[in-house]
Amino acid sequence: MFSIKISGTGIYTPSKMIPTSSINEMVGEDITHWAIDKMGIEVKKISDPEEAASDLAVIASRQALQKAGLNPTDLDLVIVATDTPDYLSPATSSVLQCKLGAKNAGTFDVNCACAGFVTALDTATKYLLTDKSYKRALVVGTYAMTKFLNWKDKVTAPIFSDGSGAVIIEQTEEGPGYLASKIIADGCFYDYLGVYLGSGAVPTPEYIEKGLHLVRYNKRYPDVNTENWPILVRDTLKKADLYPEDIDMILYTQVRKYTIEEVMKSLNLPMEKTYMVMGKYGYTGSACIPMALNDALEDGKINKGDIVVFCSSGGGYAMAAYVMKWV
Amino acid sequence: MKRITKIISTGLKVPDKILPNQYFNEFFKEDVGTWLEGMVGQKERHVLAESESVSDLTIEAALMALNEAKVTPEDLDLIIVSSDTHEYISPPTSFVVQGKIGAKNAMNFDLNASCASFVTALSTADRWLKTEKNAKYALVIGQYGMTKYLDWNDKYTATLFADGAGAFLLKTEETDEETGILDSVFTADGTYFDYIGVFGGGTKYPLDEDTMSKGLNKLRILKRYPPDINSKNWPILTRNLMEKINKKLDDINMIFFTQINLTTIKEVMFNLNIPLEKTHWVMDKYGYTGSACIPMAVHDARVQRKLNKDDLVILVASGAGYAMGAIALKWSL
Repeated sequence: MFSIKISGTGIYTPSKMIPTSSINEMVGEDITHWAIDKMGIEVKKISDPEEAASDLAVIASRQALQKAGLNPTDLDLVIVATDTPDYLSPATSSVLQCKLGAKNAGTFDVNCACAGFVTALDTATKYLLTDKSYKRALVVGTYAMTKFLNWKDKVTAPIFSDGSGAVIIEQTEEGPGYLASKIIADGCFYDYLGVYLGSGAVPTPEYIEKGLHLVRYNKRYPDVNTENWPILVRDTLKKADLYPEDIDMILYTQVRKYTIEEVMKSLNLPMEKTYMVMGKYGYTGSACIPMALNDALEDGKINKGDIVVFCSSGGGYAMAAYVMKWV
Repeated sequence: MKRITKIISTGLKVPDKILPNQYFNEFFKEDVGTWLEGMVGQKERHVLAESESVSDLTIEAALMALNEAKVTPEDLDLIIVSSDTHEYISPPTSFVVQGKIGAKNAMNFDLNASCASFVTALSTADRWLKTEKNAKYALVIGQYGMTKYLDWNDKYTATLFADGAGAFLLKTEETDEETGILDSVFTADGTYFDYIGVFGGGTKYPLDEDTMSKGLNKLRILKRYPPDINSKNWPILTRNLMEKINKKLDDINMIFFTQINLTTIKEVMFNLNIPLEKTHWVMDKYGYTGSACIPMAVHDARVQRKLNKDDLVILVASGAGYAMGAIALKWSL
């Protein structure tokens, strides 16, 4: 019986960087304590006006292919996880397939808000597990939320950045690799946070003038992550007969440093067993977990045989977790 | 015993408002109806009213499928909304659907492969159910609300596109019988990504004065596809699928295609040497409903008693971008 391994990772972060503290002036309030101390977001990374979500994804994908020692034509499947697509239609995965020249790959986009990457990784894993003709898949999280940013909004302006993270997964005979995954959702929060623009909210000039097409934080979330992440992690591990103490590295959606600290405490894990990148990359939604993975690997924090967990949440909301033994 | 995934019910919903060809003859002050009926196969289409939204249709189609199978929303383990006309850019429409129908145990996401979304989502749901041992029910919905993006003065797009939703409810079980979803094939050619789409509003052309003044917030055909793109590729895709499931074209009982053009479907049936009775079309009454058209056509064929248990059913889809998918089912109803 074969399993699934991650054979390459890549990231892209835009070169344009501003310190989060510079947002104070734009929003007319000192958000430093909240954004930097609590959220852990020290800088914002902002893509160029001509860079779309697919442009960020192409660079991260090429790097992942290179590390996996593969050509774009070796790919059987390309899945883009994003809620900041290039276009409303067609899918960003079509654009990425073209720009990469991955002409043998089937393509689709997955949108599960910021839980998109782990959901897409899980989906790609299931394609590879159930169909011999899918040997290698590219899964990319790409995020260009600054295009939808209201720079005067003190809740969203300090948080969101742009970036992309990509992984290559392959069938492997080397060991267990993928072990288990679980996704939970509560769609009752769909109108709390989002980019309310689409066939259900067709933009009129008035809508745009009021900035209603931009990312909006309409209602305050209860602290769903602190409460649900430990439960989700335990439930997912249980499917593989594992416990929190078995974890060697756990990577979370990089939205709030304070939440990650709380959850690590709740799981009774030392902070060395997680890795955070929101300090240097800002919050990059569906891209942040593969970005954290890439850097944790480069930093030598993940070794062969390690139990690695991804735990993500997306506003609206959905939570996805994925457990693997690093091959 | 092996784990199989089968379709246990279907649903369909279209808006009440109907636009017949005659409406466009009058609107454009020329005869567009002859071409629409003769070449495309369309007589009328349903469009969303200003106060209606695509997820309203999605929810109705979903509830119809759930009611038929007497499955409750709480029983669902997975919901995939397949579309390129989502309610919002973020969050996914699947959250809206899950929240509104109260499917509190269902993980869910949106899948976009343009008009090939539904077939891709169906294969994705099949793989989820086959690998997640505790999961039992999945709901896959194709939704289309493209009229919200139409430039009503553009006669090529305004006349073709319509709104609707179609749903399949899937159940997994352990059996020795070879039934349900058999296999799928996908192919894509992204070099066509900038041909047709709703290009404005995302991260490439954010909604600003420039995007609006160029009309990129509407559905646009920027370049013309080769006219034979589907008639050339659908037979290849179908043959590849038949090879993968080790069956002959003669074994097909019913084959459904993306409902973009009746002339193309007839050409493909001729090319595959399959009699025309073995396909079914709904563009005559529903117009072109993109990612929703295949489940809508299947549902309609069921209502007309054209599907029997154990029939070999093939679904062939293509979507802008360009993405294609085909899936084989042994019909289980």
